Amino acid sequence: MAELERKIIPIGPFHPLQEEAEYFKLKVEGEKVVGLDIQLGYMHRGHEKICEGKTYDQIPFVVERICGICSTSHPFACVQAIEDAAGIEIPPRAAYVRTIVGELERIHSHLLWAGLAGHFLGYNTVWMWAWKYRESVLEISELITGNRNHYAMFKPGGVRRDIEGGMIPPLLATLDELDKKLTMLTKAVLDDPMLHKRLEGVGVLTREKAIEYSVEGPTGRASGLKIDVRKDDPHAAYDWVEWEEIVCQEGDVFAKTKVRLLECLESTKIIRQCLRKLKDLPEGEIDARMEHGPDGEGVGRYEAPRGEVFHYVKGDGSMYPVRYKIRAPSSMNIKSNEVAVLGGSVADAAIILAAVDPCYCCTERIAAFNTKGKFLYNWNDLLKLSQEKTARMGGGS
Amino acid sequence: MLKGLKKAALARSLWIYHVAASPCNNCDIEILDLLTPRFDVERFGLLLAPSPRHADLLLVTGMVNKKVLDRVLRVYAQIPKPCVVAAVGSCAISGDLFVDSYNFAGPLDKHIPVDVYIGGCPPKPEAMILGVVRAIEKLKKLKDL
Amino acid sequence: MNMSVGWVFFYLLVFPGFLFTSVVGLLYTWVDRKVTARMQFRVGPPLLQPFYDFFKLLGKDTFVPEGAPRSIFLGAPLIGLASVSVLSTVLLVSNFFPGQAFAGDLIVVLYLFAFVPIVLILGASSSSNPISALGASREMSLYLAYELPLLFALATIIVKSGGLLKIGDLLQWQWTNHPFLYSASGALAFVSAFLCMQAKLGFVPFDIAEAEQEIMGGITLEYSGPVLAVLKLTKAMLYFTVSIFLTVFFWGGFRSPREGWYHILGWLKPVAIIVLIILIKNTNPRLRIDQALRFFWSIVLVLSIAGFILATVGL
Ligand code: SF4
Repeated sequence: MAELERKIIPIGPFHPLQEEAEYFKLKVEGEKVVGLDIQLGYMHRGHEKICEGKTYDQIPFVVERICGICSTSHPFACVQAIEDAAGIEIPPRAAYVRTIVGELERIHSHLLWAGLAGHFLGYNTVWMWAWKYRESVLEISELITGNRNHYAMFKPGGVRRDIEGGMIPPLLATLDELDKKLTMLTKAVLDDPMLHKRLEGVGVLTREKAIEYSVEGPTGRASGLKIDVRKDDPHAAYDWVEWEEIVCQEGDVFAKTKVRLLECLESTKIIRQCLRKLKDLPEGEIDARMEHGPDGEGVGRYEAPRGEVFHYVKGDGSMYPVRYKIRAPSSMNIKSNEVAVLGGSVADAAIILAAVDPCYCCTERIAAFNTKGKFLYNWNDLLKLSQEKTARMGGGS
Repeated sequence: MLKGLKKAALARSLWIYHVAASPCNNCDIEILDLLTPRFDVERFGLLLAPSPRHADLLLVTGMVNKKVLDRVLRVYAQIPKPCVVAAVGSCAISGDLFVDSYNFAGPLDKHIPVDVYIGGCPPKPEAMILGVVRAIEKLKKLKDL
Repeated sequence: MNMSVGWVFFYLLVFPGFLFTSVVGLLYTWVDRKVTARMQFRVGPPLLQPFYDFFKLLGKDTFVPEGAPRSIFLGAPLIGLASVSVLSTVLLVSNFFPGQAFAGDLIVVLYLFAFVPIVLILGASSSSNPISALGASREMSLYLAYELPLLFALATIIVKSGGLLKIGDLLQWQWTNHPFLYSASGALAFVSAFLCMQAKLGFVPFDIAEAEQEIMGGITLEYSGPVLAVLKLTKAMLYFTVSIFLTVFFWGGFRSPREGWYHILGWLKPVAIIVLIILIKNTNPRLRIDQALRFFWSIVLVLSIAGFILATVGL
């Protein structure tokens, strides 16, 4: 047979595979993928810079709009960073409420992913099914926070709304209902022989590669890495409740699906415990006052549905930060696609690229343009620049 | 007569193409939500089109940044006319809180003609349905189709 | 052959050819969308939705991509439409009017069936878009894979009937004896032909060539406006034709003179077939191209050959 021609299949920037604009160049020989080129930058909005022009009270709203799917994770990490810098302790009530909202978001995010994964496989029934159940999660969120997404619940020092005692019993009942639905969906998806066939052994990310690429969250846990900020560096109410970390060894797309679906069930467990404890807690403060802006540095970490979110803040005592830095989990996870898609077919590439649950709008903190909107530097160039600068600075001091 | 038929058919069968021009995703997710059981806009003949060449209704979300602007214009050029453009979410309408961003290329209606504005951050799916209804009304009023 | 030319045109263009088939075909797509929606806990589109879609597309612009030869790019879908019209006429006439000696045998049917994927491949590869080209190459390999089992399935019924080829004769044989489906070999042939038809229609799990999420509609990607409408109509007509094909060749047709009024129930046969198709479509993920090819080259081929062998020994 003649040697197959090398072609480039573009995925994106606008592609039904992703609801976000992203550009992957798949290098293929026939149907086989031999290389992947990732181009970022379509979603860059300059959050870090915007944050520097806002007061600490406003920043949670700004970072909330980094990503609509994990719209609690960023504020969560953000307020922790600010509290860390200012040295504030939050009242226990606020800790529970935060945990509840965070976990609700995890369920809705994982269901969203499961549905989209089904959609990418042409299995629209799964999509509709998962999203139907996701609606009931959003309903609970709306009940607690007043919003379907973008909850605007968090502020430095606490939360903005309380979950009152009267709300808890109906919430618990809804949660039981949700639990049943989730169990059913999980069973149906994990026992589907066709899905096994389609997903098992596809896009394997071995443990070694997972460590090499420092993947996080469910992507890492599906490759046998036991990493979860909620366990490793407990915050809010995470070490006051009991739950398990789901870890799989296979590293393929099926394992990722499994980890996510089972995590949903763990999340309902956490929420239930939190609600019960909240009920026993006396009514009281839900926020601690922040008298002045922090003077110094602080970091916040939170286990977003996709992995660890990291926020860093540096203040000078005024109400505005002097530096704000964000690192989202997808920036680690997306890179791992480079190895996961190799050798697979184009058909698999679609689901593999989706399997890390990429969130580009979280990721894109770096882009450089000249005035005509043309790319000046890409990721690697910038990395090099920064290394050079570090070296220069190291030499200077 | 023919024109009437064309118009009636167009109003009942708007295919959506959705462009994410650096949004926060939430608007996009809510658009997809429209297709799912609770809202099910297929009842009104709305479908998600795989390619801009098949689309009649362009939904643009997000603050249009400098890099994506070019792409948005290209997609708009690829859509067979007549078509309707909707700006979904505060970002696309005005820039939301990203007006201060160095990467903001200006609100959407500066670049392409926008027919309906659907406000909210994110707009609720109900609001989007209302927006689509408004778009259809607007279509029906168009004289030369 | 004592039909006037006028009748032939009537058959081809109005009933049961082009017009009839397209209306029923579009209604079939409605059934498809409605049942799909119900299975997905949704309400689904109104009855006339496919017609709205069709007329809307007629009223829109058409783009011809740069570098694509106009004649092939625009002509291919029309040839597809024409061949499906002839195909449905051939299949339906011999069942509606069994007395008519309308020319039509299995070989013609096979040829016409082959036409549809071939023109699609032609049109898509002329568009010079790498994604369309990928869709075309997938369609090609899939086509090659399901054609052989289909041939064996049809050979089975030829052997079974003792060498009949004409559609009318095959129907007659089924009416005097029994539908092929009700014998072991016929059932095997039916199952394999059914799976081949699912692939021919490009439905999940074999919608690999049009995979919306992988290659953006693949072969239909570059089409727009009226030409897209023609493609969609071809698809809809093919949908209807496939169910008629399976009914006529394996299930004794939808109308048998022996059964009198009872033949109204015969119309449920094609409906039952599409419901089955829709069920399969909605409870499966899309296969990968290599999985689909393996499926056809091994399981389906073995099934159809087994049917053929059974037929030769008279089962
Ligand atoms: S309007 Fe709000 S929800 Fe929509 S993209 Fe902008 S920030 Fe996100």
